[in-house]
Amino acid sequence: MLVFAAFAYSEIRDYLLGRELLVASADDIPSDPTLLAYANGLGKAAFAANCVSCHGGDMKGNQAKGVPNLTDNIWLYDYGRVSDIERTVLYGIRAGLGKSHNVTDMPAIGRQKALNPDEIRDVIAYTLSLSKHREDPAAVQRGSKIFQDKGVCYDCHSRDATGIPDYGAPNLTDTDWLYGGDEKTVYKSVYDGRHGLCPAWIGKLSFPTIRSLAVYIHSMSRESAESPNNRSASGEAAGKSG
Amino acid sequence: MVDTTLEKTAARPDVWDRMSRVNPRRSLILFAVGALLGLGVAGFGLFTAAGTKVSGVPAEDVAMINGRHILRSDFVTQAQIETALPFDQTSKEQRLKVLNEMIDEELLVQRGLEVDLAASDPDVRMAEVNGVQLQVDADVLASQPSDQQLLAYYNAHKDKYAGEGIMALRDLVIRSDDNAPDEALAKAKQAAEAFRKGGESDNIAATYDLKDSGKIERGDLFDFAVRIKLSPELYAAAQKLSAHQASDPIKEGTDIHVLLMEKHEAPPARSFAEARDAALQDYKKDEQTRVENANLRYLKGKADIQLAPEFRQ
Repeated sequence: MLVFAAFAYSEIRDYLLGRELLVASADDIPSDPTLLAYANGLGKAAFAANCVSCHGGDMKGNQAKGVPNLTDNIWLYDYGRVSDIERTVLYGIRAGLGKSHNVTDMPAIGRQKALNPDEIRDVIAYTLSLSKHREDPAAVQRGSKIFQDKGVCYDCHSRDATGIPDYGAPNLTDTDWLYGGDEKTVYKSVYDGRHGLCPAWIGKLSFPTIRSLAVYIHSMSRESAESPNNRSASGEAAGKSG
Repeated sequence: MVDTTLEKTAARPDVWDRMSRVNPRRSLILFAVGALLGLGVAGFGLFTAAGTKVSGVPAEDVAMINGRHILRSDFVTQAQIETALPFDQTSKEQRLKVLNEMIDEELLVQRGLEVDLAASDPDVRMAEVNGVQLQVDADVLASQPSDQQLLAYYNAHKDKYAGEGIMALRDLVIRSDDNAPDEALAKAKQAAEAFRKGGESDNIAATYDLKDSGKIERGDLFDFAVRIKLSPELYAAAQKLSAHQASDPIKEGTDIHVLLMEKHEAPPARSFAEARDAALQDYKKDEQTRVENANLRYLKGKADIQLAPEFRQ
């Protein structure tokens, strides 16, 4: 009788917490200790069951396969808020759904003959120079022109090469590289293109599980510096100090 | 003594007893009343139908429209896109506006399904087809074959990745005369024999009244250029010729052609490294075709497809 009562209590509590988890605003959950603890427990188990095969048990990803590190503050899409991560878990990246992140991918610039191999090497020299690599100045200058003109690289990576989170186009001025930052790997990225995929979990996992995954990943990582949460926090701090 | 209890009981009418007796008239009246009531209820439901009602909105949804979900996550994303603000900074009015727009959109989508818009609107049909194909192709588009897979594909299709061969070809013609059709053919045959024995081609052509057709320039040409300029039959005949060989006469319309191959270099094979790009594109295209065909086979397998008699196989 006591065992049954305990079981019933646990089930009812799970149901109520699950419901509360979904009704709450996703980005407010980290500030609610009860919901945070519940979601992290569920999310950790769900991550181990569904995500480890690509993202690794330590969540650090796999550069050889272009699987991102989920423990840092670098996000290809949006800013790493719980709502942002939830959207990616729900609909995936290039997963074939209309709501997937699928605005663009890295085109095969070389195979499509948009740039010849020498031009690719020049634009790589320019790109690597942005993250303080020492490159041939003449190549950097040629590459800069190609980046802003013929290569149309700015269209996704923006004029200052800091990337566009709406497109999933990465920041090329930092030292974080999805596939590797050595010249050979970057050349392959530009020549052959890149088309990473994250599956969509809607319909495969329950909604409480999907939200819990997003909360768990958020707990293990940090939002990007451009996140509206960080900007408003720094704005408040500036206001207070001013 | 008279038993008065029994007498009183016998005298008083038994209501239940009366009711339990079969009364056809009463039965018919009750039957008619029941039928009318039932028709009334059905009619009321039919003409005031308000769609399926569910009690309560699931926690993951912000609204349910005829049983279909509008997810909270989608609502938050839409609100952020429309207002260009983080969701927690949007006002109640802004949120309600976005929600109402999403409800309107859902209603129109459902109406489109109700009136089977895809059956009559080619744009809707195309959008649905493209959407389904995208789902089917998603894995293929995102994946890259390993080097071993690509090499195996290249080896299986090596002839596709050869370079272009070179031909130096003369397309010589003699017009067939309706009055003496066999004479032109005979001359063409004699010219072909003479070419095969060797000798100056211009002299032989002049001897047998053959002239250049004008379709091919003299000198080296890539195979693809010759293919464009000649008819398929002539090109097929040219491909079989080695250097210094001549074809048999080939009749096309009123012209009889004799092809003389002066030089023929076979297409050079391209190495895997050289052909890798083209092989990768073809590999992915073939994979896409494979999964799309597999999807169609699956759909046909579980569909009830009936054909008019003249189209049955």
